[in-house]
Amino acid sequence: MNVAAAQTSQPVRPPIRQRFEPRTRRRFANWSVNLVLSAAVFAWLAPMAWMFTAAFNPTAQLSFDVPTPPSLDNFASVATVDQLFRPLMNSTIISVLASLITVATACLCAYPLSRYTLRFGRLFMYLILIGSGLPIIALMIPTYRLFARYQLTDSYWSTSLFLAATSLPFAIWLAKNFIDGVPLELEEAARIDGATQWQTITRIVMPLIKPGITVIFIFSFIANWGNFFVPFILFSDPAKQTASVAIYNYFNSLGGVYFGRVAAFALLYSAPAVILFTIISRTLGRSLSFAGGVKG
Amino acid sequence: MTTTPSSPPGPVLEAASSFTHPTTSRPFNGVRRSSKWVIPMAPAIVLLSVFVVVPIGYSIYISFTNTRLTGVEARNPSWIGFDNFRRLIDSGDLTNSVVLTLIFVVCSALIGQNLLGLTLALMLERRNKFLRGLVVVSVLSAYVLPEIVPGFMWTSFLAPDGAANQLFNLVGLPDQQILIDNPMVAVVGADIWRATAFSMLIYTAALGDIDRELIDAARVDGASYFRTLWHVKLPLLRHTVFTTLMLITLPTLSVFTMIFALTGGGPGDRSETLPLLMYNQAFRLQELSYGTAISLVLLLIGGLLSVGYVLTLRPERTHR
Repeated sequence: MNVAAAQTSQPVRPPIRQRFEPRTRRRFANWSVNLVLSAAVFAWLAPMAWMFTAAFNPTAQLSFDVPTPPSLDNFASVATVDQLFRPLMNSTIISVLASLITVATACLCAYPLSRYTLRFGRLFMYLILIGSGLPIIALMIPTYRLFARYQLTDSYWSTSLFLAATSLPFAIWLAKNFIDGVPLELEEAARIDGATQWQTITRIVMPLIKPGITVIFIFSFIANWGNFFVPFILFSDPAKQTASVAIYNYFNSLGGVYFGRVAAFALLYSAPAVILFTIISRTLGRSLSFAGGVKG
Repeated sequence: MTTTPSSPPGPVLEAASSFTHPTTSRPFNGVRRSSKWVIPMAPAIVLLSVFVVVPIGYSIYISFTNTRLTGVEARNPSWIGFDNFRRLIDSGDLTNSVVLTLIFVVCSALIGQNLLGLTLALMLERRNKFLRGLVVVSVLSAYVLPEIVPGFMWTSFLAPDGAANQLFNLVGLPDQQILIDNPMVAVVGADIWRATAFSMLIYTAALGDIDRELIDAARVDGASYFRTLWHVKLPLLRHTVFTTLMLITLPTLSVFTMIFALTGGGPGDRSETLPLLMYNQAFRLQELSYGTAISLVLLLIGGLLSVGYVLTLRPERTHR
C-alpha cells in the first residue's frame, strides 16, 4: 500500500516492525481469504457438477460419477420433437411474444411519463414501483380461474399477455429511466430542423435508447424463459408445455431411469439464458451513457 | 443532427424557446392535450388492469365463496362469508406457514444472501483476476440458470445416494437425509446458493464506488482492515445495504419453484411457506377459494413491504 506515506506518518516505529510483521501478516490474511474464496467456489460448483457429468453419462444415477468415456448418447436420445424440440419451441414462442409485448407497451407508456408533466404522473410511477414488488405468484389462482372460465387456458396469446403484464411495471420503470437519459435538447434540435413528433421519436429517441430496449427485452426474455409456475398452471395440454414444465415432468416420471437425459435436457434448456445473460452483462455497462449525444 | 446554429434567426429562436418547456407549452403538432398520453399509455394500462387489477379484485370475491377446482362448487359457488379466513386461523395452517415464511425470508435473504453477498464482495476487492473471475462466474451461474434447473440439481444433490452424501462420507460423516430431517435447512441453503449473486453484484459495485482516498487515509492513520471496514466502508454502504435488503426480500417472499421441486412443502407441512400452502390447498387439495384466501395474505404482506419500500426510498429524488 502506501509504504512511503506510512513511514512519514509514523517515524517513531522501528523499521523492522514495519518491514516484516505487517507483510507476513498480510500474506497470511491474503492466503486465508484465498482459501475461503476457493471453498466458496467449491460450494457453488458442487451441486452443479452432477448435472454436467450425468448429461454425458448414459447410465447416470443420482450419485456423482465421472463417465468414462463421456458420451453424447443422452443428447441423441433426448433430441426428439416430443421430448425436446416442441417444449423448447413452446418456451421460445411464449418468451418472445411476451417480451415483445412488454417492450412495446413499456416504451409507449414511458414516453409521456418521461416527457410530459402529467397530473397523475407521479402517482402512476409510485403505483408502478409498488406493482413491481407485488408477489405475482399470488395472482395465479384468480388468473387460472378467470382463464378457465373464458377458455383462455392452453393459449400462447393469453399466457404471453399475462406474462407481459406481470413484467410491465419493472419494464416501464426501466424504460422511463432510459428515456429520461436522452437529453431533451436533442429532440428540440430535431424539431427545429423540421422533424415531426413521430420522426423525432423514431429517428432520435429510439436509436438512443436501443441499448435500453435490448436490456428490457433480454431481461424479460430470461425471466419468461425461466418461468415455471405460470405455464405450469395455465397449460394443461402436453403439446403446449414449456421446457421448464417438461423438465419437471421428466424428472418425476422417467427420472429414475434416465437421469442422464434429464440432465442433458436441462443443459440445453439453460444454455440460451446463460448466453443472453453474458450478452446483457456486457451491454449493461454502456447502456446508460448518452453523454456522447450532446455537444456544446 | 445535434448542431444548434450559433446565432439562430428570430423565428427559430422563438420556436426553440417554446420547446424548452414541453410540459407547460402547447403540445407538439397541436395534438389534443389528453390524447398525447392516453393513446401511448393505453396498452400498458389495459394490460395491467386486465391481468393484475382484475385478478386482485376477483381473488377478493373468490375468497368469500366456497369455490372448488372441480365439481359442483366449481360451477355454482356460493357465498360463505369469512369462513375461509376463520378456517385459515383456526386450523393453524396460517401460523405454521407465516412462521416458516418468516424463517425462510430471514435466513435466506436477510442473513444468507445479504451477509454472504457482502462478505464475498469484500473478499473479492482487489483479489487476483483469476480467483475473482472464478468466484464471480460460479456464483453468478447459479443465479442465471432457469429456476427449475437448480431445483432439479439440488433434488439430486441432496438425494439419499446423491453427491452431498458422497461428500459427507468423504469427510467421515454418516449419510444425511436433509430433505426429510431438516427440510427448511435444505430449502434455505438452496435458495441462498441460487440468489446470493444478486447481492454480491450490488455490493461489488457499491464498494467500487467508494473513494479509495478515504480508505487509504484511514489505513495511513494506522487503522486496521477491520477498523476501516467498520468505521469507513460500512457507514458508506449504509444506503446500499438497505436497498439490497428490500430488493432481495420481496422475491424471496414469493419463492415457489425451488421449494416445490425440493420438498413440495413437505414432509407434511414442515417447509410449507405461504406460496406452497397456497398452491397445495388450491390445486392439490382442490380448495380453490381457501387457496385464494391464502394468496390474499401473501399479497397483503408483499404489498405492505412494497409500499414501505417505495415510500422509504423516495423515487422522486432520482427524478429529473
